[in-house]
Amino acid sequence: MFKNLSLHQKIIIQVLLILLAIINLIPLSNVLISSFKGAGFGNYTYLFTSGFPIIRMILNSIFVSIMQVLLIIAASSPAAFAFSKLHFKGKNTIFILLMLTMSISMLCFISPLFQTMKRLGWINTYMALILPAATFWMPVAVLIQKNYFDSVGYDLMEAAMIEGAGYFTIWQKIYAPISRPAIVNVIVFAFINSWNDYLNPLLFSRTEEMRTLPMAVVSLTSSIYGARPEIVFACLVIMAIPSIMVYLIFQNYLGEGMTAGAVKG
Amino acid sequence: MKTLTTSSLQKKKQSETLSGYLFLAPILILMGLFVFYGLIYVVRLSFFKWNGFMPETMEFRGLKNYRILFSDPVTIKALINVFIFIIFTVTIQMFLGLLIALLLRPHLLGSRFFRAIFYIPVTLSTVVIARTFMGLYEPYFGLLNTFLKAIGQENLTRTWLGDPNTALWCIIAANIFQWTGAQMVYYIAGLTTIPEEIFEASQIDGAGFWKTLGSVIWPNLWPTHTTVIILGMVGGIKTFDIVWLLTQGGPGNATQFPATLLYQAVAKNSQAGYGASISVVMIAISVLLSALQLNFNKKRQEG
Repeated sequence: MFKNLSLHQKIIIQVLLILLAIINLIPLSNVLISSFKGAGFGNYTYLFTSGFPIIRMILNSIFVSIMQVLLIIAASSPAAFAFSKLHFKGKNTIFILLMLTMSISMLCFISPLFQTMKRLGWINTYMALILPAATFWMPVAVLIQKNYFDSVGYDLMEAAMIEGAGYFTIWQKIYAPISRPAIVNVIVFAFINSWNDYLNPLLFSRTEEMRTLPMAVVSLTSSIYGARPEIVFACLVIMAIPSIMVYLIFQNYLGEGMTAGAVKG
Repeated sequence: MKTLTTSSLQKKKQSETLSGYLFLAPILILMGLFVFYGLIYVVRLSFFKWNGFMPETMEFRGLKNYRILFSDPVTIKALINVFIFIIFTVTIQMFLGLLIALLLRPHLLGSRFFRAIFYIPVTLSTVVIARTFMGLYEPYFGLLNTFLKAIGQENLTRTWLGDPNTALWCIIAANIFQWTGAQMVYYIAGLTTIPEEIFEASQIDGAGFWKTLGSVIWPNLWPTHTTVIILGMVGGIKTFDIVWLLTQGGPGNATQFPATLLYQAVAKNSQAGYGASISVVMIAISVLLSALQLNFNKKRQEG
């Protein structure tokens, strides 16, 4: 049914695809068009020049996302290697524990997280904006990279061990570098997840200077700017561009991660 | 000679175990601090009455939180809402995801472009999705009411998010829009596991499209269906952002979900103990669903 399609069938498929794509694009183009209503591009310059700390919030978003991605890679790559290639007691139990807790919402731990952050003095700091959300994403990153390491096999490891290399060297010099395709997936989806995250800053950011972009939209709406929806829409467009761009640039390298986002979403 | 090898083997075993735990140390420390400690904490807290501020005001009350939770009509409402939400988002997303995956399968003109268009909502923040849909639902200038007026159906216009009869459906529609791209990816992957010969054989038999779909494609996709259904349930239980951004559980309690009840109890009403009992129920359901998925994956791998 997929080969030897007649011209007639091809046209029907093409028309259906175009129709669905248009329906899909209506809500988003409405945002884009609305962001230019009135003053046109002036809405964007107004957002940056009217005293709202948007630049600070953009920088916060960039910093928090990059730190989360680095932290996730640093903690999940060695763990995925150990789960895939080393044999030790308790390994399977720990792995199952990580996988079972993977789908729990961070919101369920609102009280203990809040107490921990208070005791550490981290409320309204970058530590609180980075660490909890990054940690909750780590099991997904472990899963993506472990599946990759599983497909690689033991040959390289055995060869390196005969040469006298230790496990750390084997991970750092051989397995981590060849897992680059999996790491690209983790980077892209961890970045998108962090860039878009609403819950973590909702819980732990308290002042305008410590807000990331998703919270910027919320503060804009509840402030005097709320009466000017086109300004809020401009902020949405600014926020949407980086995640869409990252996806489009890397889309040929994305495999497994594309569905991992849904696990956490 | 023999004792030497066993001792060196033992040494290797020890060093492997030590390395293993060192490799796991960073993730275990972080997960311990935020997840496993939190797990013990909320289970314990769920047996107490507490405002969430001064530890000395904690007061043991046994199972009372759970008794209140399960006798509160708002809880029942939240459970009904989450049930409706899961049924409709999962089935409609399955249908649309499979439809798009099938349409993309022949790799006609621009299929990569279309795939990207359908996946873009998945890459957007729920904040963007929520504001986008508020732009549709807004009663005066919103696209939906404007459209209804334009086609002369003025009597159908309403305050979509402010009407208890439509608010939940507005949330469901926004959620379907956001996640259908992810289901599409699952189905694209699922379709590649069906051997081409099966399609060809059904063609030679003269089976039409619908017959092939019903008798070959659909049953062969059960691993994908199962994953999509379980993940849909997991996502439903967790759903918070989109509801909080669109309706905050209102109007009245029309769109309460377990997660919004939890957030309101802890962050708005200072009922940390009661909130913990909601957490425990949500955690139990999430873990159970994950166990189902793990078990299913294992069975599939074993064939």
